[in-house]
Amino acid sequence: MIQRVLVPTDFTVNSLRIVLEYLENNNDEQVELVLVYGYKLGESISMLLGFTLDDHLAEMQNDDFLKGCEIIKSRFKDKVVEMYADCMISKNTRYVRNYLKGRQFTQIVLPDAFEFQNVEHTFDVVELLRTQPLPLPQVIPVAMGEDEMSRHDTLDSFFFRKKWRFSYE
Amino acid sequence: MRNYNKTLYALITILVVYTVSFVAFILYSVTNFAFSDFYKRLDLRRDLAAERMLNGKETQKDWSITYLEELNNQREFIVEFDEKGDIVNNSGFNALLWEKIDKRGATNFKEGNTFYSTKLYQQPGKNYIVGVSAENYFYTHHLRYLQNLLLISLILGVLFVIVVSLLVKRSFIQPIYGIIDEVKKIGSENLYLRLREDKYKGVLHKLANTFNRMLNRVETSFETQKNFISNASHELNTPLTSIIGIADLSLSKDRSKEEYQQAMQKIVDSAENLEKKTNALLMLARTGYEKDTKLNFKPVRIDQIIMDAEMTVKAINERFHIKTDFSMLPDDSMKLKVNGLAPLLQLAISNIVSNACKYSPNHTAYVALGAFDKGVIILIKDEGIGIPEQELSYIYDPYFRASNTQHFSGYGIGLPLARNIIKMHDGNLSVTSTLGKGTTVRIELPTYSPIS
Repeated sequence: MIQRVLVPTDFTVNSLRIVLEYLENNNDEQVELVLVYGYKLGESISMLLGFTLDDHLAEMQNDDFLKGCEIIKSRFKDKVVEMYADCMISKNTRYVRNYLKGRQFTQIVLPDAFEFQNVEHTFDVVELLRTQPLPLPQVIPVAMGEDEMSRHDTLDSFFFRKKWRFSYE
Repeated sequence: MRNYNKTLYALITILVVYTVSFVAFILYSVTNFAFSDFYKRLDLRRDLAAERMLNGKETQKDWSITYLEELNNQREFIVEFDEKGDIVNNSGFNALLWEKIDKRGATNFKEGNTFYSTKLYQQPGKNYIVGVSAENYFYTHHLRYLQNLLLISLILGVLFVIVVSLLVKRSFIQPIYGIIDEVKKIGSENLYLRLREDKYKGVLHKLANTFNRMLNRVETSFETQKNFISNASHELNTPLTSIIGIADLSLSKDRSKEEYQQAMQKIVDSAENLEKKTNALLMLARTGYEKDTKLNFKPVRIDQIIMDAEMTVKAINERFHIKTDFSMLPDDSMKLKVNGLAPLLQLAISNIVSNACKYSPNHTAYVALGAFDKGVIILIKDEGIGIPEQELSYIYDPYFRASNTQHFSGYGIGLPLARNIIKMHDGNLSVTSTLGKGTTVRIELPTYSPIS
């Protein structure tokens, strides 16, 4: 059975490490990854009428992030059936319940100690899901660990993680 | 410019033709209306005249005039004719116009300024043509006036169109001539000159701006070339000077065999150094200028090239360490194939990797490889001295060396050479760096697709 997995993101390449940790540490089930981030839509009428999810997501995802996603897809070609972005637009408990139910998530990935980039109008999905009184789908915790290397290129964090798995000298 | 004039004249002609046909249309329709209206009035008077002449009494003549305005030079006539069409009786009709009359119905016609309306009336055994003629005052006076008016306004209109078009043309062309004059002043000796953008508006402002930006690029490349020549001659001069110096010194007096051998060895070393430099220069020039000639590219595996490049680097200096992250290698090995020349790609990557090792205190370079949809990404990262931010834009200039590299040997050719090679392969090389923390070089190369 294909698992539909909610993975929190902030559309930085760095946050794709959560996906990598999840994919590397879980069994070989096929997954459909939904990268979710929180966006406070607000109450204004212009937002209600003018907000388009596709346009908004296209605006949020920069080239490097998309390349990162493509690299993950080609790396885990057999495991990742699909991978796309989505956003939650409210912190309201009923909204969260309906969102999880409607999208039919079977797993939720919650990283420990990951600092999401805090941009205006966004909220932390991990914190929101942690504090929910609702029964959640299966929660998969991933340990991010400390990354000690300095970063220059945006794709750095994506590649040079913890210990190299393949290395020869 | 000639084409421009042609377009302008064509436009003027179109405008003039339009005005003329407009005037002609007005004149035609007013005339047409004046004619048909006047004929209607004549028809009415003819019917009244016929009634009076054929059925009424001669003395009743005046009653119609009481109600109907008499027209200019209005005349009534009655013509009696036989079956052959010959006139039997004629009262007041010009017999020369007999041919123009339809003998079996009604006719309207015009002779000079006089309009005629006639109709056949039959009485037992007799045929009459009754008619009325009159001059059309509206036609002779008002229409003439209108005609003159339209003619004058037509001439004025055409003149106006021509003058305005020529003025507009001048106002369009004048600033372009201005730009041409300004551009003429710019030569190789004063490439710093720029067009005055604020003088122009709209699209010409954009043109001037584009031109200035082009000049900026030209000036930069001019400067680079100048620097390149001076740097190159300086670089080549250093070993030459040492060769000449050593040779001069050894020739200045008699020396022992060992001393000569020592001197010759130094000369050979310097000459080898010189050869290395000229070879590197030659390579740079070839990779820089052979962009258009398609080299014999073949599909090659990029992971293999990286491993070979690493071997090369380690062979040069055994203190260099390379840590490779192949954890993101794609499942599908086809995604690792790029179209290119293996020795060149290997040269580019080994250059960058050896730089990464050279400028790091721990002599370690970190290399990673991944594949996205349309290409591969190679990251080469070090934790070395980094590049000062303000110098990042010059690092691709040949012979440029950052200000913090005095304690490292090098020619400043490796990176420009690598970049040229990557560009030859339709790829992209970018460098990000933090001073004192390290540098990351990112290479992106398009994947090989069998169709292209």
